[in-house]
Amino acid sequence: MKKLSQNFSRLLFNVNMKILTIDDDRFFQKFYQTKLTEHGFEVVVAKDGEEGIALARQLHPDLILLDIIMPKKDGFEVLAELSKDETLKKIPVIVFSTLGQEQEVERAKKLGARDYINKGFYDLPALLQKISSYVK
Amino acid sequence: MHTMNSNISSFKGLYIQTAQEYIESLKKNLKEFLHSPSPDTISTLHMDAHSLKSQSTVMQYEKIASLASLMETIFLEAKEKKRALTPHMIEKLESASQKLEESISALKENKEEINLEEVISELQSLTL
Repeated sequence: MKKLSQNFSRLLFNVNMKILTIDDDRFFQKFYQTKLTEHGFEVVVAKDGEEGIALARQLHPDLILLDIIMPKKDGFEVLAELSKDETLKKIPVIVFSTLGQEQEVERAKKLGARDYINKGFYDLPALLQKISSYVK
Repeated sequence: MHTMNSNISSFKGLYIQTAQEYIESLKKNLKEFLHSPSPDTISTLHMDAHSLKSQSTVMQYEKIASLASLMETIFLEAKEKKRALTPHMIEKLESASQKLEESISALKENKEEINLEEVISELQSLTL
């Protein structure tokens, strides 16, 4: 059943679809990289905002999952920088944080984030659905 | 008895490892702040508590998540200069860190999270 689900996911999603996750937390880096790879995505991990911007420029991922609270450059700063680049601003960004307060979500969306997911509440089907809705 | 979703139980080892790192960092930076207060130290404390809360929430360790969340709130209030971290508060936060460590040790031994109600109650009295 698990294999059927994974094969279905691979049919549903382009197996070459590349997701860049920008998160300083080692647990979440590994956790979501494993889960999304199981569903056919190629996942690249950046451990902070600076590395995230550099990898976004280099790889032009299909989607970015972006944490907010990070050292060096936080998620809001990353969003601001992505929005200034004509090519990078086209990449859909889903903010992936545990902040969850309305003003944070609104601030992220004003800076160009397409959506917000609370990564503290593990709901893989919901995450996959959101990813599929933003990636063509 | 805490029963964990089998989809996340495979991450328990990684969780314990990273949680221990965050708790060590909390303890170290609390001591540092006591002797040499700085905005950078508060920022690190806030991020460590935030990360520990987040991971614990995903892994469904609710007691640890609750305590880490309270610590996160206190550090955020200090970071935003809404409050000062007094030596008395540092002492309470160090006790809280110790309790977190004990809880992680229990998980490592395949036991349940320890009861954190008392330390949570003490910290709640400190929040604004």
